[in-house]
Amino acid sequence: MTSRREFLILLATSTAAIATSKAMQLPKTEVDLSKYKWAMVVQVDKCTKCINNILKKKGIKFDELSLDKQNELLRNLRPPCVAACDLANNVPRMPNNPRFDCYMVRIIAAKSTENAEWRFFPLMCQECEHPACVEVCPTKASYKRPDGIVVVDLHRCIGCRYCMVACPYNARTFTFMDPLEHLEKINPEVPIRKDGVPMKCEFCRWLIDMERCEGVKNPKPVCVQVCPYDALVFGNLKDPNSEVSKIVKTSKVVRLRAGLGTEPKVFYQDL
Amino acid sequence: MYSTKWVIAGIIVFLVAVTLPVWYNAAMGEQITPPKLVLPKNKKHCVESESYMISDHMELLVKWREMNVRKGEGFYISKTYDVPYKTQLVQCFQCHKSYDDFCGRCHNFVGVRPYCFECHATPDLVKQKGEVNVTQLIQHFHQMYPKVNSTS
Amino acid sequence: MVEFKKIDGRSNGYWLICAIFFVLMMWGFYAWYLQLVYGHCVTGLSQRVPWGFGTAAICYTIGASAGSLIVSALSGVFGKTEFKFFSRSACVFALATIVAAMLSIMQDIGNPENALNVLMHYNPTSVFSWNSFLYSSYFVIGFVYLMAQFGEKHRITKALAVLAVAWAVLVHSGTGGIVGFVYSTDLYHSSLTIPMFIVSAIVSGLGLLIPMWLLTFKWTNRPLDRNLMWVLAKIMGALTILLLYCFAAEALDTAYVPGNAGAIHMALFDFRYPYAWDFWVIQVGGCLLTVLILLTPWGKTDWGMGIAGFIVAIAVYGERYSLITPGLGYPKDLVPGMIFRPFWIVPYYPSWVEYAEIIGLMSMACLVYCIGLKIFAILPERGEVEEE
Ligand code: SF4
Ligand code: SF4
Ligand code: SF4
Repeated sequence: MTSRREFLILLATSTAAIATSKAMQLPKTEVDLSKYKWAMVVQVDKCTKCINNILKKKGIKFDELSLDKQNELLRNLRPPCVAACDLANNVPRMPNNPRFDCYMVRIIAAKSTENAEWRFFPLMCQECEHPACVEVCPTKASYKRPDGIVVVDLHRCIGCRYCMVACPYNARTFTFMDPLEHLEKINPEVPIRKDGVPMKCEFCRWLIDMERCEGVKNPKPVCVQVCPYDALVFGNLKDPNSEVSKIVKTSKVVRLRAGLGTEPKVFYQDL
Repeated sequence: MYSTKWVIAGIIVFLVAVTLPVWYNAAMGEQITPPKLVLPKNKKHCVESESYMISDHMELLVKWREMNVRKGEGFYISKTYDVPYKTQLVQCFQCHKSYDDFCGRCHNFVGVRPYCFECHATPDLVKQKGEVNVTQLIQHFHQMYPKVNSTS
Repeated sequence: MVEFKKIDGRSNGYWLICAIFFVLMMWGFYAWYLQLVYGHCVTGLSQRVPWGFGTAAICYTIGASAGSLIVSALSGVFGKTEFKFFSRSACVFALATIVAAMLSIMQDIGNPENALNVLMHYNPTSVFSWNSFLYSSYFVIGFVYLMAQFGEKHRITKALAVLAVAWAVLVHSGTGGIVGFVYSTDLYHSSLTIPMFIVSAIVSGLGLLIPMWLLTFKWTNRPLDRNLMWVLAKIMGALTILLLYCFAAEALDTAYVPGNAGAIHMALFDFRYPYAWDFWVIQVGGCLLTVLILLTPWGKTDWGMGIAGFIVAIAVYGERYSLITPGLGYPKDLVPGMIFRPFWIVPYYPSWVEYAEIIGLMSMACLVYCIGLKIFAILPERGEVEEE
């Protein structure tokens, strides 16, 4: 509903437009989200190489560490993707405080048998097609956009943490205290958030939305842009010629916890 | 009715208390001066007409919020000037370089505390903490971690 | 006819009890204030265990409320007029605890200024959303039911009693669904959760009401028929046995899946973490102790019944706690079929703030009950069946 005042403005402008016979020149801004279905492919081979290089530089043999040390190491590992994400998205990291440490992307190590070699890969919100978090959110603060990105609308969120409990990937973290103290720098385009709300990766929604509206062909999240190995591939699944579509079509990709039917849109290649 | 006296006295006291500001203003004359804002230089107009911005900027911001967060629309086209604007608070702060010198003056004067700035950083805060610019950030990372040719 | 009469409420003892409850209540509100100022970091919660004592408190208070309302409606639904003498006080207690439950939701959520959004934006797939409607309507139904009792309108009271029982079961099923429908962890997602919630609701309702009645009748010097109390205590004992049976069924069901071995081992047998202690000592131990007390001759005395009720009320709290926290404390199976890191078990210990909040809220419910006794005719003059 437009208010009376807006209606008057509209009336005035349209008369002005007619009077000057100047056609309304609206910049082309893309608003039809249903043309997109953003997805990401993580090429685990490259990530494993990258993390192994980092560990080698530090002189650490991951296999020989105790379980606690492995946990701590992975929690504090900052490959380019994680470091850039933390800065770009105002993530209040607390390296010394595992209880309240917030993250959006974190590095996971996995191996299929005891003797196998560790594989490393980043794990972020999987932007599920049937997201558990959206299913349970009592206020529709978490919702899925037509282009598949699951967004948390903090203007609406009551901070019940139901979504954190329901998410099968531990993708969400909660601000247990005022995040401002734990930010080194601020990216003004992203909220700094207050205490008592959840946060998660949204494929850098603020970035790719702007670029899409400005007409950029292949907008990319920050982690994808900074990865030195180009291990992350991001694109539109509804476009059959995009790189993600091709990889998903031809290579062996898996989705985590596929049995739950959440149908993530982050694919892991060669896991 | 008993205690009629008290009831009437109470009503009078209540009425006086409620209308006190009016009497106060009448007695003190035009002493209260509206706050002076620091306006951006070299800018011809705001998003919409001045009167609309003064009275309805919050409605516009709520509308931007719905557009940006719930509909994914990155730009708002000014109805008065036919110019696109980003549907973000940073858009405002591109011209109004400080919260305290612009927004805060009126808000403090009338005693409102918008909850926007519990989550959104004001330019003053960004200046104090240091700013992250995405383009620069990505360039910086490209220099620090140059691309590795994956085929080699 | 049962004659209801207000209590005098002028003795020193009455004021002392009210003062104690008031102080405890203010302590709880002070803890809440701290949590509002500093954020949830004052609680024992963490990123991995975002639900804990506070959420258990919500389930518990709603359960106690639903249980009390079901007990209150016993006389109306089953036509047992001998139970009529306490239906009013149980109903008042049910209303007081549902208010405490709403407040404990407000305490638990991180962004209480947005709380009304739950009513404004309805999400049909969210169990929490269903509950937002169930809770508010539950309060209205309970209130109307209480009013009908005060008006001595027998037909309406009976109809409302049936509705109140149905609604109480519905409300608490909804609460069970919040936890039971979550499929992200191994230890959640059990269809037994909902019936177990109902049983433990009645148990905890009776467990709180029996000592309360014994004390109020004793301190107001009104006669109370011990046989009636014994009937209630027997119902409580039987339901406690049913509860124990449910625990066994659920634990075995979960443990049968080889993939759950790690989780179930941590929850039940790993005494380095608080979960196993809670399960064996508070939950199972408390229930067993209650049943044992009620089986001995001592269980028929005032002290026996009162203490049994008190213990089972705490045991049910332990059950709520062990439904919610161990499933979160054990890592979710992020990469199925593979060994993965980081992999650590988070022990969750509630902080004093969380204890203070729940104690404060329960004290508030008791305070409301005490004040209610003074200003409304809730308590019967004689807690006995009239010989006709
Ligand atoms: S995404 Fe890129 S930067 Fe991140 S771990 Fe993988 S290879 Fe390294
Ligand atoms: S990974 Fe978790 S937070 Fe992300 S969309 Fe899926 S359920 Fe929601
Ligand atoms: S914490 Fe916020 S986003 Fe998550 S379920 Fe609750 S209201 Fe929804």
